[in-house]
Amino acid sequence: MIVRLAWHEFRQQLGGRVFWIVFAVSVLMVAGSMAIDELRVGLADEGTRTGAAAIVRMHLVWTLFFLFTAAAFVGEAGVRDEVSGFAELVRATTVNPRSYALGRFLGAFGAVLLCFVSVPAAMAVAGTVLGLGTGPVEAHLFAFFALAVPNLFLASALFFALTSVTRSMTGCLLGAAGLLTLYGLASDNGSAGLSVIEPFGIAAVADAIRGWGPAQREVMLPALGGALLANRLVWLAVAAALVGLGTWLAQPRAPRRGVRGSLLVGVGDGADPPHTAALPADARRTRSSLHSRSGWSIVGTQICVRTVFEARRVVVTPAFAVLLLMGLAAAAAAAARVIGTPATVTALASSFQLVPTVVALFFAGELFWAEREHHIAPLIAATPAGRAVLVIPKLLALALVFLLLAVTSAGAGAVTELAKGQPPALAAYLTWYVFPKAYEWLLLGALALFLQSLAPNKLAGWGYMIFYLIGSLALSKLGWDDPHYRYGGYPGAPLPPSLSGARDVGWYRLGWGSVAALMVVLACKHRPLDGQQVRQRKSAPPERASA
Amino acid sequence: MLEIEEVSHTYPDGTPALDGVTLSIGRGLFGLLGPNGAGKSSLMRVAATLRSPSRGRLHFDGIDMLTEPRTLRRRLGYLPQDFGVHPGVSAEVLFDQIAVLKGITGRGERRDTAERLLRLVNLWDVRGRAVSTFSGGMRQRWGVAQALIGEPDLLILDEPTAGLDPAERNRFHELLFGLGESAVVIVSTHIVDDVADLCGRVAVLAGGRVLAHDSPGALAGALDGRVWHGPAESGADAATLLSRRISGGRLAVRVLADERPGPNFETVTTTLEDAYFAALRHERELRR
Repeated sequence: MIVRLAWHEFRQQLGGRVFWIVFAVSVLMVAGSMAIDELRVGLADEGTRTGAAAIVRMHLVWTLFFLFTAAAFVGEAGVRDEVSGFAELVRATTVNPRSYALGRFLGAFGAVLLCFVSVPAAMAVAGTVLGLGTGPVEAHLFAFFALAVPNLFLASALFFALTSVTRSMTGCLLGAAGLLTLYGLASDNGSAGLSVIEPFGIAAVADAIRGWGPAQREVMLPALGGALLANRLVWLAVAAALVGLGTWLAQPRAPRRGVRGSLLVGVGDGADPPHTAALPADARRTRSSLHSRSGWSIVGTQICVRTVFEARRVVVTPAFAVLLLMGLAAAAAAAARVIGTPATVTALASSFQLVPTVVALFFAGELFWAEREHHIAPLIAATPAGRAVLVIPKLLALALVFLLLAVTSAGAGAVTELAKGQPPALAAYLTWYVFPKAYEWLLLGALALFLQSLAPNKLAGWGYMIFYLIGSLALSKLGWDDPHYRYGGYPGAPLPPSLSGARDVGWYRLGWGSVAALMVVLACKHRPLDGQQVRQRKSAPPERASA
Repeated sequence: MLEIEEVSHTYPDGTPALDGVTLSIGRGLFGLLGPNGAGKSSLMRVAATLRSPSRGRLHFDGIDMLTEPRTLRRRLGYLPQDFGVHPGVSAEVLFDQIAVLKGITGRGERRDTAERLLRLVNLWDVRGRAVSTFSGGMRQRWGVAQALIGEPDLLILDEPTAGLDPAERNRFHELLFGLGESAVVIVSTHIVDDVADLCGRVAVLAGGRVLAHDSPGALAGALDGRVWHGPAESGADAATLLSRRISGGRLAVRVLADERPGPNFETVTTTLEDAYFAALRHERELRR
């Protein structure tokens, strides 16, 4: 049964657009990095492009890139039935819910593995096209089976467990963001001594080939023994435990309590309502002039009320709290290494980037698709409110969230300064960091919303944004950093002009702000709320059926 | 008055949903009857301006609904067949959000509206509870309450009594009856009795076409003296079978025939259900 379920899930994943989008993007990026050195994001100089060291390194780096892929595939497999309401039907069958969850996980993991085949396949094809050959087969086999498969299994297992615990995609994305943050912190501190405990084997491989010359790295592979073997076995065991945990937790549970609600036991179901025959007279008495109401003041109030509603839905989530705490830890750690407000602001500007990026990526998708995901779109679409009343509050909610992030991270820097006996310059924090950074992040939020409006679903929208972020890294590596064509860019970025000494920064911000505003306008116009064919006809009468 | 003229709609995959539907619907309750896939929900969505038809015209009290959908929506109350809610958001907060989007921006006015309508559907005492934790019937009542925001004079209710228990259904009928005095109320349902009891006029849809429309009494009366009831095994091959039903432990049939179809058959008082099945049967025979 588990095998059948896994096969079913595997086919379902392959039938989705996300699988093929990720596959195509991976092929393009790997092939691009084979052809152009500057596109080798995250890849050090590893000799020839199809040498053993390059193959191993490519697999290791791409298992990190595939964290979000594993999160998307495994997370979707875990929550799809709950979201669609199909889970109730499954629970009414004789299928063991744990077998069902395990089958889903294995199918999704199979899809992750197949998608990852795009990496060695693109390497081999690009190498052949470039006349470098496919590279040593044993290097491909070693890198795939000894490194990539355990890494992807670990990532998938972690996301499976997180999905089972949180019953949401949020858990998966947080896990991916958390792992990447940990890797960011670890890369600052070096990886010496981490051979066994570093989960993805990057440190273990580095230790195993330490002292090798370029010629050895070109043809030799690290022996699968010692610390590397211990690393693989330890983390495979951890992954197996996580799969066990996720499977054990996969049983029917009562739905979560609402924010102000309690579980339903039919209270109020049977009580008599007031005598409803009084309605017509009551309605006539209170009939308002709603039918003729319109105007900017109403739109303004609608936007304000909606903004508060949307912002609450971000700020009160556990996801936001965890992201904020992780970011604050990174910011405080960076601020602790320097002295004085200018140096602290510089450290914050460099270290506190991942959290706002993840917030923009994740919550833009969550907010943009909320009405459709929760099937409340038909009710909202039947109101006279325009698309702008629905989309603009989502952006303003992100703006409030970014301002909150900027204030709290600046607060972490100021408190760190105080702890070291230095009085922080609060005005400098506001003008150098809080307002400029909140604005920069808002530009990113506008882009994320725009990309979501172009996407057929939330996952694809996240994919577009991740593609943009990785593409930005690649462009930076190519040296294409000119703020005239890099979205959101300005001279001296990421430092404020007061610290970088750059001039005319305001004009760049204004220009990119205009681009962001245009994207928001397009996002408002692009798609009807409920995804149906709703269009407002212009002036010409429609063609008659009989015509 | 809602005027629907020659409205047709075909889905992007080529599936026809509506085929030249023409109806004039005045104040009062109007019922839409039809089997699954008849086009009822498609017509409801078109009438609610949520879907533009491939062809045709729609007007409501002089408003061209295709060129001025937002003007129409200021006067519209809509309860779709399926709707969801934001998880964890209370009935009152969610109601408040819909009220704002409908244009009620004064805080006090929204509060008054929420109290009046949530009391009307008997949800005021549980207003602090998340709608996502409501039972099907409670959620449906919340849906009805939100449809009544702004005292709409075009009310479109798609399967409004789905999930309601008999007592709730009766109370809801009472509510609908009151609403029909001042608004155009279109009710789509599979339950023929609901329409027969409530609606002044009714249309039978199948295959995206209007097969019949008139008052329930007129539709049923057109078959007077031609509907016969008898045991299924008696044989009435020459008659048109309308319905089969277990009655008193035996399978009985109602058939349409100008003459008594068999010795054990008796003429019966015709109902809207007979007219409904006769219209569907006639449509099926025409297609053959």
